[in-house]
This record gives sequence, C-alpha cells and structure tokens, in this order.
Amino acid sequence: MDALAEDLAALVNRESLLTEPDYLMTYECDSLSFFKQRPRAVVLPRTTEEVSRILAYLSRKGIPFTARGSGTGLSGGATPVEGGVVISLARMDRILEVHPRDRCALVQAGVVNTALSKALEPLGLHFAPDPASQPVCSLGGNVGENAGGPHCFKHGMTLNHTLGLTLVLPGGEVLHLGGPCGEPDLDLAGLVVASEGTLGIVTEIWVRLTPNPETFRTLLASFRSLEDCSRAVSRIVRAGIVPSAMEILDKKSIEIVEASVNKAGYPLEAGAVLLVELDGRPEEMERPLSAVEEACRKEGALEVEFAKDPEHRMKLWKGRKGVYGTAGRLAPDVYVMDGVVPRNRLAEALHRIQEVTDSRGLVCPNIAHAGDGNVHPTICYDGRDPEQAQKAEEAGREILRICLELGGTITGEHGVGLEKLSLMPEMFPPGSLRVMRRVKAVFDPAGLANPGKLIPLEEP
Amino acid sequence: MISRLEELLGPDAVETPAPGSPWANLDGFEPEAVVHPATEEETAALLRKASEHGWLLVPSGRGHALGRGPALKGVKIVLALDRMREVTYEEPEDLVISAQAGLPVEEIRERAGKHGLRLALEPPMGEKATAGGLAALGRSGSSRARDGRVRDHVLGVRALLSDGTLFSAGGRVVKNVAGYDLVRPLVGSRGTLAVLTEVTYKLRPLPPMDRTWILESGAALEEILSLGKALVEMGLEPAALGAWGSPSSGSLGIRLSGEEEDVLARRNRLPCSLPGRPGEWIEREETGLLPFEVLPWEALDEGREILLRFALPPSALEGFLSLLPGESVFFVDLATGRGEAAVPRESYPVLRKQAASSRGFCVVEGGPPTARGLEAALARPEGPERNLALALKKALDPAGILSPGRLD
Repeated sequence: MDALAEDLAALVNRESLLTEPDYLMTYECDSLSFFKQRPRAVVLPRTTEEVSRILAYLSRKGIPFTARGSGTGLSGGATPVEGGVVISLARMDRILEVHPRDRCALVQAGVVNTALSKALEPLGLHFAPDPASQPVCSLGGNVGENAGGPHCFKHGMTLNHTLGLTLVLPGGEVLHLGGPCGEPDLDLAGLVVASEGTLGIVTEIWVRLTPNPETFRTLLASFRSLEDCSRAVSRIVRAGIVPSAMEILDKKSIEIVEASVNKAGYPLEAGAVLLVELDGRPEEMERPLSAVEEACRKEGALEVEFAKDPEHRMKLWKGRKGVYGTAGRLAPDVYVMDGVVPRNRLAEALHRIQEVTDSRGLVCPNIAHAGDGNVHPTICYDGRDPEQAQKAEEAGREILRICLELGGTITGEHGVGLEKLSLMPEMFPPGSLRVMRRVKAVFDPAGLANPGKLIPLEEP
Repeated sequence: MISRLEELLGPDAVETPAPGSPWANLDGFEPEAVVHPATEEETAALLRKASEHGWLLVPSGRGHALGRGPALKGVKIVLALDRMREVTYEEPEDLVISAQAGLPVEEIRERAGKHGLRLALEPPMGEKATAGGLAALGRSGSSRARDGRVRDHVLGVRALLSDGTLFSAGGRVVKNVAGYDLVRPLVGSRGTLAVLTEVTYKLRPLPPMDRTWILESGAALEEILSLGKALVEMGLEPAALGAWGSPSSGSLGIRLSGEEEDVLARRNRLPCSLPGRPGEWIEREETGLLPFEVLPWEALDEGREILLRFALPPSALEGFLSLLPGESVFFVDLATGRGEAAVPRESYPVLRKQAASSRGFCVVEGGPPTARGLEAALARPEGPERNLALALKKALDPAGILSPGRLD
C-alpha cells in the first residue's frame, strides 16, 4: 500500500478504500467511454464527516478528486482526473427524513432515484425527475447534472425539485445551503445543481416530493415522417396543452426496438412515432387528450392508439425506454447526444441531424423529449475503428452546432463534462466564461474539485 | 460626479431625484443622481466609471421595491433601467419571451395574453414590476403552490458585472445545463451581484378556468388554519391557498385552476364553511389573492413597525403563527408555508428563533431602515454559508459598489 492509500485508510474504514488495479478499472470512466483515466484510489465514504475528512486531507496534499454516483453520466463528468482520487457516494444510500405533509425529504447523495420513489409509494408521493437511468442513477448524480427525463416537460428538472443541500467544500468545510424552505436570499443551492462536482461534493439533499398522479392517459401516434411528427408537437404546445411527456422516436428507433425484447408494438411502416402522456385527476384529462389527438390527426397521423390499461401503457413506454439499451446491440459503441432547440425548430433540427449522420454513413436512432425540444441522437459506431470513431465525434460536434445555430444549447440534461468543453466558448461570450471561472474559484480556490470539467480551465 | 455622468450618458439621462419620486428617499438618505441609460453599452460604460471612482449605486426598475430587504447604505446613484424596455425575443410557439430589464411586466402579460399565454408569476408589486426587477427581487406571489418560484421561470439572463463585463447565463430554451447556472444566484440577489439587463422568461398556457373563492369568516387563527390544513389534506391541489387577517379574525381564500370540469368538481368538494360559524365561500370577481397578499404592507404603522417575510414547512406554521402578537396583520400561503406579517418591532427575535428552529426562516423585509438593519445582525449569523455568499459577492463585485448594505 502506498502512502496515499495508508493515509486514506486511516481516515475511513479499510473496506471503504479501493486501490487494487482490478477494482480501479471499473472507475476509469462513466457511461461515456470516449474518455478513460484510472484513478489513484477510490474511497467509498458513508457519512458527510468522512467526506469532509477525506477532502481536508486531499486538499492538504493538493490531490484532485472526482465525485461519482452510479457512473451513469453521459458526458465524462465522473471520469477521474489524472493523478486524482474518486470519491464514490454509492454507500451513502440512506433516506434520512421524510416529511409527507411538507412534501419533502432529506436523502444522502447515493440514494438511487427509483429507490426513493419506491420507498415513498405507500405515502402516494414520488421524486419527479425520471432520467432513463433512474433504476440505477443516484440522486447526487441527478443534482450534479441537473437530470431531467421524459416527464420534466410538465414536472420540471432536478433543480426544480431540489430545496437544499449539504455541500462539502474542497477544503473539507461543510455547508448547509437552503433547506426544506429554500433560502431567504442568494440561491446558492441552485448554483451547485448542475455544477458537475466542480464546486465540492454534495452529500445530502433536501428534495421536493410530488403527489402521485391519480390517473395517466397515454397515446401513441404514428406519422409518415419526422417532420409531421415534430409539427404535431408544435401544434400541441400551441394549443396550450401541457402533457407530462412527449417523446419522439424516429424510424430507426422503431425498427431496433421492434426487433428486440423491448418490442412495444410500434408500427414499422411509420417514419416516426409520438408517445404522449397526460397525468392528473380524471376530470382534467378528456379535453386535453382529445386536443392532442386532434393535433396529431391534423398533422397527418397515420394512426392514433390509446393505452387501454396500465399494462398497455407500460408496454408503450418499454419501447421508448429500451432504445439506448437496444442501440448497444447495433454497434460496439454508442454515443448518446444531448442538445436542445426551441420547440418550434424541432422539425428542422431533426431533419438536419439525420443529414449529418446519413452523410457519414453512421447509424443513428433519433429520440427526443420533444416537449422540451431536447434531442438525443444515438450514434452507433465501432470505436476500434479510428475512422469511425472520428466520424462519430465529428457528427456529434456538428449536431450540437446545429442546436446552437437554431438558438438552443449544447446540453439539456447530460452536462458538459469532458465531452463538450471545447464547445463552451461557442455557446457563451468570453465574459460568461470569465464569470464562471471566478465562481469556481470562490468554492474551490486550489482547483481540486473535478478540475477540467464543465468549463475550460484556461482562456481560449 | 454629476458632470461626469452627463458627459458619459448625456444630460437627458441624468437627473437629481425629484421630490416625491420613488428614489428621492432611499432608506433615509437622498442619492445624488438618478441615471437612465438607454442601452446595455451605456450601462456598461457607467459601471466601469463607477467602479473606477468607487461610486456606490443601486440598480432599479421603476423604483417601487427599493424599500424592501436590508437597508441600503451610502448609495450615490440610482441606476434606473426604465429606458431599456425592448422585447428582444418573442417566440409564443416556444412559450418564451426575452425582455430588457426595464420593460414593465404588464407588457409581457399583455403580449402573452394575445397568444393565450401568461407569465405565471404574480409579484407583490403587481403592475409596477419590471422584467429585471421581478427577477432581481425573486418574489413569486401567491400562485407559487402551482407555479413554483421565480427561479423556475427564468430561463436566462444577460447581465453586467460592476466592472462592466457583459455576460450571459442560461439561454432561451427550457432545458439547459451548459456551464454554471448563474441564473439561480442572480434571481433574488437584489442587485448585489450584477446588473441584469435582459431576462428570458418561460410562458405558460392560460388555464381554461381560473377562479378564486373567499371565506370571510372572522374566525380566529386556529380555526382558519385547521380548515386550511383540511383543504390541503383533501388533495384539492389549489393554485393558491391563502389565509390573512389578524390573529383574532382571519379569512381564507382558495384559487383553483385547470379544466373547467375539474375546477368545478374541486369547488364542490369545499366544505360549506367553518363549523358553527356564519359565512360561506364567495367567488371573487378578479382572479388571485394579490390584494390580500399586500395587506401586511398596508398595515405597517407605528404599532406594527416592521414587515417580516417568512417561510416554514407547512406543518410548522401553526406554531409560528401562534406567536404573532394580537395587533399583527399577516398573509400566509398555506400550501407552501410562505408569508409576510406586519408586527411590532420587539416580536422579531422570538419569531426569527421559532422559524429557525423549524428549519425555516424569518427576515425583516420592510419597515424603517433602522429595523431593516437589524436583519444583518440577527438573521444572517456568521458561518461558512454566509462567508461563501460574501466571497461570491466579492468575486463578482470586487469594488463593492453594487447595492451596498444588502449583502455585506
């Protein structure tokens, strides 16, 4: 055991420390495998105090660190830093307090997203953000990235459900920002959300809880083309309807899902399908549901199918949720993109994205949280072939530039991480990056918290 | 200073505060000048000059919220953004609008209304609010239970640091996690960190039905609160649920919005009245609870000298409100636990302590400047959280010229 390992072992339980190369390999990257870096050690603390002790030690030694939840991030945010230590929050998985009447709970950062909602089931409450990885991803990771999901069109992203948090600063100091009632003035907890572990480590979170909807109404509309499908989305938004989710799947996504175990009965002849869900009280469903159907028909829907019962609903969703997993069978590597465009530019964006990948001969199922204008093209490629890998990366970059050109952003919910660092100067004027660097220095003057992520370290 | 300002912005853009104007009396002193730059560039030039010379200034929309929150100290210049009132981006089909800071919120509301949309915020300053002021103050109003906080509605801003650096944060789309979310600390920062020059707001569809019913019972606080609690537990999911009045005689209002059938079904579930009390639910002609929300402000006088702003977990409201002295006048949103109360000055320490012990907060929002000075001493205890806020202020406003007294 080297000196670092000995020191860390003295700070936490020996079994909370991993230094064997075999174990460390698991922590080389998150779910974006473009970037890999083996950490010097992995520590798995159980309490805020342990995190504080570890960070105080690392700060004294000038060793950088990276916080990690479940490693499901898609932008390299949890990829270790060279010479750095990974702090895994996976063992901080306790729900500390639940206050049903006040609709809030205090949880440790390693609690898994659906584990919280499962625990709340008897109380008729849940945590609303529902990223695709929710059976695995941690709430701390959700906070780090400001995770969204299909249902955030109506219910909001993680930010909207975070009331307060405990943040351990890189020097080890423990801060309580906000709480069940938020903060009286400066919203510092809100600033920490989506900061990708670059301001410190979030160990506990006050989350807002949402009552479970009384009913769901789900429909699937199929269209000849992506354009028709996107126009239906604009029409629904224009009609003042707020579904809880609106998901687009393109032809390729339909094909791969229908050929897999996630088969959902999507019509193979369609150019795209739109999955729309409304939730709420039974009395508030009928008019919006007919308005959605009408909007789809006016844009030339080939077929509109309503979920008949909860099983049918689950089946329709299973297809959508299975796209990423299924795409993994098309090629050894998948690159899940994440950009956002104004909702009225969605048809144009999806059309141009298809051109970008088609022109490079890349297979790319396209799905989108259409209600938010959030596109997730999933580029399939073989990373062992340098030419293909380069094409995938180029296509990704071009897709995000299209999003910027249309007035959108380079990431809606996956974060900047390592992946999109070089695009930050294209998204923001130099003043914004300077301000962000100043903010980083306030929390982390020595630059040890996940350095090199989220904002480029140096002026371009 | 005046001649330098005139040189920079032109004589028309610089005035000495007219008696009776909202900026003539800033927390007990008079600023030397009120300036009205017409563009972002002019505002940046002014800030650079002010930083250089250490001129203390406070940004303002139309001046109507200047007397709120911690008292200002030594401000020489009011930076009025009321000439910057362009709509810079409007995309009703995407439910988004961007406006320069000085645009009255009322104009946003009118524009949105033409498309069947609304800005889902009802700030206590009502029609006097500006796009920038609404974000800087961060006060959402009583429809918060349904619509959330101001921070949930601001998609992006353009802003200037006190050294004139222009930056943008967020964007114009509803989901965006690129870079630090500087929008969050800026919303509610009351001009202490930067000067907002443009704000992009989310719009929402107007609900098909939006109605408010009032129960003026004259009942004591405990009865009102117990009915309010019952309404919350019935799962009526009101857009707003407010109680107001004095500890001995209160009223209750509920706002329901959504599909017509759904609103009426929920209306029919309202209990007729308080058991053994006269009075019944009367539908208000206007929607919303704004007039009742500003009651505590109107009640400020010698006997009720300070206005407190508080937030508590709803389950802790009863304990907190029971400590209000008899002469208090309050408004409280029972669904979110937020409210305001005009109270005698001496009751503040005990209420503050009670709020803190329930993991909420209670701060002085209005009243004489001396009382609002109390806040800094009492409600913001020393600690790493406060040090971080101060460090952030120092990093963004190193010359310390923005809104002195509010965060220092």
